[in-house]
Amino acid sequence: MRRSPLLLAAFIIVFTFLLGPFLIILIASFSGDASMAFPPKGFSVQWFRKVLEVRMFRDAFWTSLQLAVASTITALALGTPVAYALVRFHFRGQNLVEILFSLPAIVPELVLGFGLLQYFALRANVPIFPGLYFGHTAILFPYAVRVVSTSLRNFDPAIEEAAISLGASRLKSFLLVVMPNLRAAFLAAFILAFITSFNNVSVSLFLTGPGVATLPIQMLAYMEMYFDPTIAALSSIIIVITFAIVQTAERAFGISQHI
Amino acid sequence: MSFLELNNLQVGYEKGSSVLNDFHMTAEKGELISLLGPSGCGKTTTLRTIAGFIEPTRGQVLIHGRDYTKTPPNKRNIGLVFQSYALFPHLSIFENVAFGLRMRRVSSSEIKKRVAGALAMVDLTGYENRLPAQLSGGQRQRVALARAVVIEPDLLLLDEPLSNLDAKLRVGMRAELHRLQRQLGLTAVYVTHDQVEAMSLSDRVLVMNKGKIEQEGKPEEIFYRPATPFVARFMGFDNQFTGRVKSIGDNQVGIEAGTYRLTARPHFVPDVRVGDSVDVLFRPEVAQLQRAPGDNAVPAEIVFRTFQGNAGEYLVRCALGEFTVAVAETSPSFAPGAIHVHIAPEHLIVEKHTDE
Repeated sequence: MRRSPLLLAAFIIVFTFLLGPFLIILIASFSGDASMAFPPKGFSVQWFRKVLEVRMFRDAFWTSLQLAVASTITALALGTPVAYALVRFHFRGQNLVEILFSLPAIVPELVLGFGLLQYFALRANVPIFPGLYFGHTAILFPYAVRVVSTSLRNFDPAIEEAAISLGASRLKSFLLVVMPNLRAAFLAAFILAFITSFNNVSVSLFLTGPGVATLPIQMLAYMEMYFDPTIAALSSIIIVITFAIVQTAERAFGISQHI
Repeated sequence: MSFLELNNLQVGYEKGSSVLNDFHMTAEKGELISLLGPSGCGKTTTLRTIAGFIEPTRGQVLIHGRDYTKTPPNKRNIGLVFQSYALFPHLSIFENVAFGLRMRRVSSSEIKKRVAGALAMVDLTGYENRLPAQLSGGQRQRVALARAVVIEPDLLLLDEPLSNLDAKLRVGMRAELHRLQRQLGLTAVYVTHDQVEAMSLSDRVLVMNKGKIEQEGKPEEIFYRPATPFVARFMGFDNQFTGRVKSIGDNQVGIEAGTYRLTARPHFVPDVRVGDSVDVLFRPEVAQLQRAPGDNAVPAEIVFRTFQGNAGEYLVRCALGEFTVAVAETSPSFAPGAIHVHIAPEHLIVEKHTDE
């Protein structure tokens, strides 16, 4: 292929905007100075140490982790049967159901967050963590349905029917034959949903409250008070961990084909 | 009473349109029945109804006198073989074959014995630990066959099992399938759109069209005496011209086509009378090219010739239309130009004229 200077320029611009911010944050987190600046003055790892020392970050990290794991598992557990029904059966009102189940992904998250606040916190008086859990499950559910149904659609229905004709019930054939072959898809759905939950701001913003905050919300709160490179260090840690997880999963299972 | 009976079956996917209507079919124990027809004729629907994946809106499925119409597919003890093989990709060949036995809670020593037996039967001993992806198409279909017969099914259903294999393998697998079905005395229903496959495998063939049985009979009957225009065309009576019945005798029918007088076999005569307008059909293989004029011969002109390995095919044009004529490669070749096409009376079949 001939290299056109225009294409090269476009390439550079896209990468500058995509990866530039990450690079700046990574570099800034090693700053020797107490205020965020680029290029940083001096070099130190003190901000990384500080991240680990700050109590509110540790608490928020655990909250986020628990929240992400719980809501991801719930969304997958609820989304899988829905995906199965949508792919394998044809029923009246199927399109409507499909749209309904993807609503949380279409409605702006701020609106969703506000709605959930109205419903959970103000009307039903649900405690904060369960409120977050329900809210996150709602936003992850469409992802779970989408990823699982995409890979189900590519799975030869004859394989399932073979299992059934050999004596397996529909549930058994799903558990023994379909599930093991959709492992990569489930992993992809899990990682996608986990990251979505872990990084979510807009819904969490409405549903967090005294004493319970997710990591992104805590970071926002911290930044309102301090402007030192701790946030940059924390962001770097999150970026590296996310990248490592996705990369490992891709190497092991090739998950990108399912997203 | 027959071993398998489908009575008065009606299957509809949507309101108003039904795939099968008032469908009857029987199979005797140990018989191999082919459902032959073009795609969309209802043959796969019939198979899936027998398997239990489709519930008929009306009618009955009887196996060995027992009503299975409402029995779920996993309780029917039917072996299924699919076009796509449908092996379990994550399980070894051993576990693939063992699956049905595990579902039946057969003891593990018995499973070992029976799986070994089934794999030996399809000549795949030694492949136990491989995964389906490591096998060739032919081997995979043999595993699928072993998996279906190891449960000792009451009925074996095969849905275009050879269509994904290449031509050479197909012939070999056909023989193997035939031997296995005979050896085990299995009652089998075989769905195919390939007439050669149906002819070579079946005890009986059901030619289907638009959800109905057009003709039912032994392969030879279907091949030589197609009962309807549809069957005739499907069985390779590719050449056709129109004519008028001049006389009807015991053994032959006199036809006037254009300015020619031809004699044809009286096979379709029951619904044809003298003076009727008729379609006359014959197969490309039965026509002969000759230089001299003769009885039942029409002057024609060779348009072109194609070479097909073991046979040649001529396209000829005459006053009655264009015909294809297949000849053995050893027969003398004819240069483009004037020729006569001869068709023996027993190879010309006559049917009522339709405007299709």
